[in-house]
Amino acid sequence: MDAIYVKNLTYRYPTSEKDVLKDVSFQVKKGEFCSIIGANGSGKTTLCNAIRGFVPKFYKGTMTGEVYVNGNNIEQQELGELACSVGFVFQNPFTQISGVAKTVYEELAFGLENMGVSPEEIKDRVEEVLKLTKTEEFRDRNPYQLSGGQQQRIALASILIMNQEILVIDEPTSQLDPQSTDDIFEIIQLMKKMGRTIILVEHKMEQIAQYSDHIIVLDEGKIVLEGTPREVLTHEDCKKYKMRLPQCTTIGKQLQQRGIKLKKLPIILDEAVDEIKMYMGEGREFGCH
Amino acid sequence: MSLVEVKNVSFSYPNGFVAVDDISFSIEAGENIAIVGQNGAGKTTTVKMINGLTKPTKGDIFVDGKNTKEYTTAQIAKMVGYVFQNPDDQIFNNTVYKEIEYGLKRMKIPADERKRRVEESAKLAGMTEYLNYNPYDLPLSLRKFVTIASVIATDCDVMIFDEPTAGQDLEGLQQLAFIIEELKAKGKALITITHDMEFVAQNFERLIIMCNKKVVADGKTKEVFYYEDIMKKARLKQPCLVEMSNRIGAGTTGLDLDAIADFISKTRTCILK
Amino acid sequence: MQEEKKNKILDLNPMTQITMCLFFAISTALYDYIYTAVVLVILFVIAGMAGRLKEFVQMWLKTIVFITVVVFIMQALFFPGDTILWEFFIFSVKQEGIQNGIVLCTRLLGIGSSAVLAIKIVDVNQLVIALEERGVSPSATYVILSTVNIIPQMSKKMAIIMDAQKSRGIETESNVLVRAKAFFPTIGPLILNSIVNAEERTITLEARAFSTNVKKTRLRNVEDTAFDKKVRGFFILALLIAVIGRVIVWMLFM
Repeated sequence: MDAIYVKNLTYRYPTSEKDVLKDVSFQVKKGEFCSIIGANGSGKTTLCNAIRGFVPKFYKGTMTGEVYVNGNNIEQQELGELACSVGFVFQNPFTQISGVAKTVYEELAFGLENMGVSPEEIKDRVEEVLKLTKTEEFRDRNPYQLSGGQQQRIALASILIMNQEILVIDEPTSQLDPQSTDDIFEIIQLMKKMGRTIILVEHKMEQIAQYSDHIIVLDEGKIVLEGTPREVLTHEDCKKYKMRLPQCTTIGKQLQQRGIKLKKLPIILDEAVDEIKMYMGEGREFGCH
Repeated sequence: MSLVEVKNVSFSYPNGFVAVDDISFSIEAGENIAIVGQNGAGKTTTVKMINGLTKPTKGDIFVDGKNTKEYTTAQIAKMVGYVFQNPDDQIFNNTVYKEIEYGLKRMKIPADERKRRVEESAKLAGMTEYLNYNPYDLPLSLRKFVTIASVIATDCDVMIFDEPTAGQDLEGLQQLAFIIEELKAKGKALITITHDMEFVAQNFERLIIMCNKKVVADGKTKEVFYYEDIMKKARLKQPCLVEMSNRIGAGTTGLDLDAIADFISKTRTCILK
Repeated sequence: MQEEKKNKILDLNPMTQITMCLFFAISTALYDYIYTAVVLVILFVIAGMAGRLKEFVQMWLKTIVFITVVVFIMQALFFPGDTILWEFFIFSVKQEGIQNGIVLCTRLLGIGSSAVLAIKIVDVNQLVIALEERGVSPSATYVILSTVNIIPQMSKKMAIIMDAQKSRGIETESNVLVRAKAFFPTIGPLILNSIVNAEERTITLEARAFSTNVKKTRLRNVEDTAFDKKVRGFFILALLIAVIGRVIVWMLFM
């Protein structure tokens, strides 16, 4: 069974004049890391909101088509129920602090308290997640006193702790510095290792190329490309849809234009280095033997 | 004297916390400079001092020969424009047009000149088609360009962009690259804080690296990015081109793709012989 | 969880603390200034026992005492009356004004000081839990708690916005008139920010399962000891006596 199955989804916000999502259909397998990319305004965030049920339940508007999460049509579920099956993290670290907790410890516990988990279990799980996400040092700090990067780690940890099978993560690093970005991706990788299904919206193509199993490209509300990172990022239509590419892919293309015939277009740096070394080394083989 | 002179400047808070520790550099008209470093390295405090929002606790900053300590922020603002990290801290008018015009009204610029400047800066920032929009109907990435346009409209000599690359898509980055080029052509000095090393490698001639409240490197981008030790110490990733060139043994290639391509072909053919 | 030191006053159940402060506030409104003076001394002693004397006095001086003094002067000068005690320029201090001022200020001091004490000794987080245990809905308690927590963040945000506007050439450092002009550019973004933030925070709460129909658990429980019940009983009884006493006195003089 697919973790997420979206069928012919079309959606329009109450205030907008045209459809933000147009006949979108796709599936995400259980345990898969799926990235959604595309220009700003192409509907990425709206799609995230649809998977979590905020569209149309919270934002209203008109929706046709269906969204299934773990085989259940989410239209028939309450928003509160969905909270237990789909985790949600977004861009702004500051507004993801609940505002009720005096310490990071209590912040992590908040979701579980709302789910009615017993205090003993909450304590165990908070300890475990603090350790897993390497946030123990913040345990007694006021979440508001942390930096943006630290707050975002706490936001991810606060969702991770709720043990949902599916995690929707919308541009978690766009306001963060490189170090914090690495910290966030460490946690996202951890989530993947724990077998969670991940839907990620990101602009940082290096990380997308490296970690995704599956990429969906949106352009003006439509899915225009879909497949493995290699299939999507080396596709000739990338330019047409104004997609950002990993830097090494761009460089690979430029090298090819300069007559350096790499066997395959690299999408991550290690691959680029190997390809170039191989290209140079081919000479060695011919020369030495 | 240079357009901006930062002389042995330190800044510490009343509680003793040091945010910037003895930095010095100068900026000429027409220069574009990227400042990179982790959060907490002192970047924002540094540019706030150039804008006069905070005054150095030690040392002096001169903008166009004027010591920032002797002027209010609003007075310095006529020479140094500052685009804040979060556009929502600045925007309050109900159309993009009025928002861009606002600063000009405060500077008592005549109406026809205001109109000309609003239209020109909107064009530069790619905002022409949105002039009648409410800024809050635009996505955050475009709201950033609204604030950029309002600073460009003031036509000050020095401009500071605080993390303009955050959350931008390809089109946004291209727009930014265009703005940077145009400002240089107009002889403006531009200081940009960013975390996007690839963008820096492609668009900035000069690079300042800050680490632990200090300037640890200041020079040509195509050289500074190759200082492996400093980059590592500042916990920054080298741009793809630099790392690639190091790992294939091409060494310091000055961010020049042709040089790398040359090296690759030569290495191949030379072994071929 | 961090262990706080044992403290007779701070360890009380928040409902007990509030009952106590309510008693002082209401009873001072019923009796004259001598009683209020006694209550004030008691409030100081309680603040001292709680180890919060310094904070209490600071806030008390800045708010209650300040307002009381202002109100008293206004009353003395402007309350209509015939018995003029002292006159200068266009002002005159009248006996009726003084008398009225004393009555009003006594009430203000009594009620205000009790409120300040409540603010200084009641832990809002504890209060919220205690309220929920008494059946108040989590949505209502959330509003209380998040407001208290977010206010300091708002003033921080305000400082950032002020900076952002200053850097666009808006004077905020000059005289009152110039500052008044900066009012809209600073308050505007603050409100717009709050609206955007409110929507996002609702999403955050949804993401944390706040709206599930499950019965929520609480990591911390607020103890309601036998001692608490006794103290509360005592103050409620005292309040009843005070009210009845007042009514009797009032009827006797009718």
